[in-house]
Amino acid sequence: MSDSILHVQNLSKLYPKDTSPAVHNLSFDLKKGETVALLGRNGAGKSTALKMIMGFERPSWGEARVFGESSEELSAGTRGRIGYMAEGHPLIDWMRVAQLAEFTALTFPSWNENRFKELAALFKLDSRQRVKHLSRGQRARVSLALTMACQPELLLLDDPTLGLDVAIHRDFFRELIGEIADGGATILLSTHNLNDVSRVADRLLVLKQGVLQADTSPDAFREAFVEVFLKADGDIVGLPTQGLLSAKHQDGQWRIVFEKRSLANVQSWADREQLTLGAPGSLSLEDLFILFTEDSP
Amino acid sequence: MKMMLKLMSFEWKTQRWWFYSGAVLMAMLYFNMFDGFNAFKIPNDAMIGMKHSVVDFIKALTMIGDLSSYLHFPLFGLFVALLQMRQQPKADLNAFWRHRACSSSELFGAKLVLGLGYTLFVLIGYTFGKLYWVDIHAAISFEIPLIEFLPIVFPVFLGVFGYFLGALVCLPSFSLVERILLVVGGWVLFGQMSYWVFERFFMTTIIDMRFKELSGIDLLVLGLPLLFFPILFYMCAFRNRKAGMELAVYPVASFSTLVLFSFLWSFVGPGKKMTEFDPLFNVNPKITAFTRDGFPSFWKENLESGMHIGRNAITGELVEPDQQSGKPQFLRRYSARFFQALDEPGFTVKPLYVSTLKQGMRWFFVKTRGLFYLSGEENQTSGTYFGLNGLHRNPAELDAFEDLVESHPLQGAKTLLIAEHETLYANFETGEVVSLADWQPEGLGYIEGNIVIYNNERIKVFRVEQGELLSYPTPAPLKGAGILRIDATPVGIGVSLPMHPINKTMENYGKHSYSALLGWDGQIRNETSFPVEMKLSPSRRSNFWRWTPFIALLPQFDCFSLDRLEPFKNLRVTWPMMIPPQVYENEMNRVYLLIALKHVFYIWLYLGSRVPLRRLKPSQRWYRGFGILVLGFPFLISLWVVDKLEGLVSCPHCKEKRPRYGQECPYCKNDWPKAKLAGFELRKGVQLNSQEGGSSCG
Repeated sequence: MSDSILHVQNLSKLYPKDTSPAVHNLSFDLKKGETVALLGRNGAGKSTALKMIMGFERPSWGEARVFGESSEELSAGTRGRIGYMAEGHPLIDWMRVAQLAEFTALTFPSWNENRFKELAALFKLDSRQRVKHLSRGQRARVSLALTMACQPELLLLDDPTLGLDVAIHRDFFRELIGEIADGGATILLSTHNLNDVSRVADRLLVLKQGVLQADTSPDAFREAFVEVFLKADGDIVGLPTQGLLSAKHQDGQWRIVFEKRSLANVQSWADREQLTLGAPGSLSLEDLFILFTEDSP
Repeated sequence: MKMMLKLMSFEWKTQRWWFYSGAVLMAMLYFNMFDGFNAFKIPNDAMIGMKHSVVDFIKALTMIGDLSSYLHFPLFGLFVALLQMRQQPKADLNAFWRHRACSSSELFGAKLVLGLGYTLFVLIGYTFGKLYWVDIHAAISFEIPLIEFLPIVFPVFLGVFGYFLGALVCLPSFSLVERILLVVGGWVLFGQMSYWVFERFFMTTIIDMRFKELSGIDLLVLGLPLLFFPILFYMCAFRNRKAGMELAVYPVASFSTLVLFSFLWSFVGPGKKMTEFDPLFNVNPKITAFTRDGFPSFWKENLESGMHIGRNAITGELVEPDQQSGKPQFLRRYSARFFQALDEPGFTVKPLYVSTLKQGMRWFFVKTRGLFYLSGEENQTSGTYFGLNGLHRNPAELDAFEDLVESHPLQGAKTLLIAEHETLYANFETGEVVSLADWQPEGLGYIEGNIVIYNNERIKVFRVEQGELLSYPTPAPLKGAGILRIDATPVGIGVSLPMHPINKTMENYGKHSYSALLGWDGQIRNETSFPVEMKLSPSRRSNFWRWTPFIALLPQFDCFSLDRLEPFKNLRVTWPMMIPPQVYENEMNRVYLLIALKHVFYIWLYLGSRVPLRRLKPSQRWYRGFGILVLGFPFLISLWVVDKLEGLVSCPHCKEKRPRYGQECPYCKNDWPKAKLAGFELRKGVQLNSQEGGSSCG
């Protein structure tokens, strides 16, 4: 626990008049230097969880502690150690980019002007432009530059690449996140982009309808399941459901995804039914995520 | 502190353009709405007090004198706050703004200090600038002691209230409905009250006025609204306290509900025709008015035409007098709301009507010189002065009026001037001045060329046309009775005693319990007694308080809230929760009890729908219950409108739907079911659980 930067315990949010919590008993720890991706489909509770961690949403029950402080009462000093990018890159519209930088520099002692200039050059930011005139992608870049220039120890990013073009998107994951992580910062980011995440994340947290369904490494997540193809025109009968993640008929064959350790069971079922199974293969993280977070197998 | 200064500097740098725009816009609005730059454009109802003439004079000249124009002070504050914090309501943006390595106090404080400072700077500067402009450019030089400016400037602080209201509305976590209710209720309740408090406070302290009716407690209690919004703002913004937000919203929402209800009622409520009889002279109806509230409206004497015009107190519509039955034979005075306060006992400042000599010209009394100045309303021309020895174009030739307290315009240029120890009749057209008495009258009347003044000892009648001054002792039944009305008739004068007024509305309405017709020789010719419909002597009232203080508290609040809100003072009979007027008039004690029972019913109604389902936490039950008890129906409605209740979830243990606001069911205290996993659960170390097959790997 001593190196735990973020401790989340039973964090839950039940909105008024809702019958099920948007986030339900979320628990995890973030250790120093870890890069963790918070994954989930739209409405899974990612942003709500991050807002509660940042103290901008009041938990219905449970708590989050950041650098040992309750998220509901974060001190100014602790906030100075955290970089937070809210979903949608909210910025003060009537300010110019330079004014935003000035405001951020004023309110973050760890502000690195040179770093901001580097990022501004990289992102091709015009410091004289008013925020309200920026495109979605430009806002994202400004937001990123401001957050990064604060050199935070803990970075909470809520869908940071939303609106970024392909090139910057790639740079963001390959270079920026990598660089920050190399500098010893701890990162928790929510995103939809699984392939990029696999390059930088040490761990995945997968939320489904507010509940934490997976807390594991990307490799372990991917290796936990295999897919096989089975040639059969009609319905298949008696497929073992134990460990079954998905079975779908497409292009004249069945695509069956199941947990790796159930491979023997599936193989013996196929033998009994005199069906020919294809060679087991692994799924991309993105494909697996989609199947994993589907409502039912 | 250093951080705050830096933030203030940044705030100024980035917001100053808006500030300038705000000031310009404000000026434009003011110019267009109130015509404030024309210092001599005076509203029709403008009245000028004499004892502290500077105060009222400037109010009239600058158009600050009317309540409606006071609104621009809080309006400006509201405007500045909205500009400064307009983006705060957006939750994510608020997070961007607040996620800083500095405290909320520093962030908000920088805005507040700068915004408030700017608001006060502009308003004070603006006010003084305007006074200076009036002094320099006006034809009349004030020669005002600086201290007398203070009361004019203090209402500027209403800008503080407006500023905090605007800032509060901009905080996140308020819904649109809550924001609307905050503005409506805040404006009506606290704006009016703040105004009232300021008026009283500075009239009684700064200008050293007599301080009879108000106690320090009154001022303290009424002053609380001024602190209310800053405190709430602090709780909501700096501390991010949910309870603070509820505290902010519910009481204000209650008054908003009251206002909205009464508004609605004024359109849909049943109306009826009501007839006023004057029993002194004949039984014919004198005035017939349409009313929705059971009380006739205020009546206004139109001095120009001599017509009496009624105005429905609720709708504000003009009510035509019954032309067939003739005009009422008595003078009813109508005070603008602003000056009603000054017209109450305990204050020496009385409204002064200034006769209009001819179109566009008006007399002003300049206290420092003791002379009346004739001046144009539009073109600022002057050159005629009126003093104790008549009219003159050179003021040096005139003797000053001393210690004038008030004036009563009679007809045309004829005016009654009341000094501290003298009563004068003045004709502003001919310059004639006649001393009628060496005392201040307790009451007066004027009809058909006769001026009647009286005090506890004597009644004097000045027959203007004949120039004759009659004087005789006040009849015994009328001595010390607080004469309500005095009328002059061709055969004598009629004097009426009032029934005990239960509120201002009835006070103005003018029912009386005794009337006498006196002949010119001072003998009583005709005497009429009327049953006093409501007897609520102070002793009986205090007994009631002694024995039922708790219950008495409830209707007291009703009465307090309705009586204090000037525009809504008639709500007691219009508002659905209130009681029929006839009940109110006849049985005060029952009324108290009835209201108390109603409040208890409301509590039952609200908590009955919440508590059995445990939809309220214990703390919420207490303060909401207390809120309903004290604030009544509007609070109940506000709760229903604003409440954000947790959803009901089926508890697997008690098999009922229960609110879920914690880890355990508030009813059976069992833990709620753990988070339901759908599909697989993967944990570090490749622990794999399949819900479908119930397998467990790793």
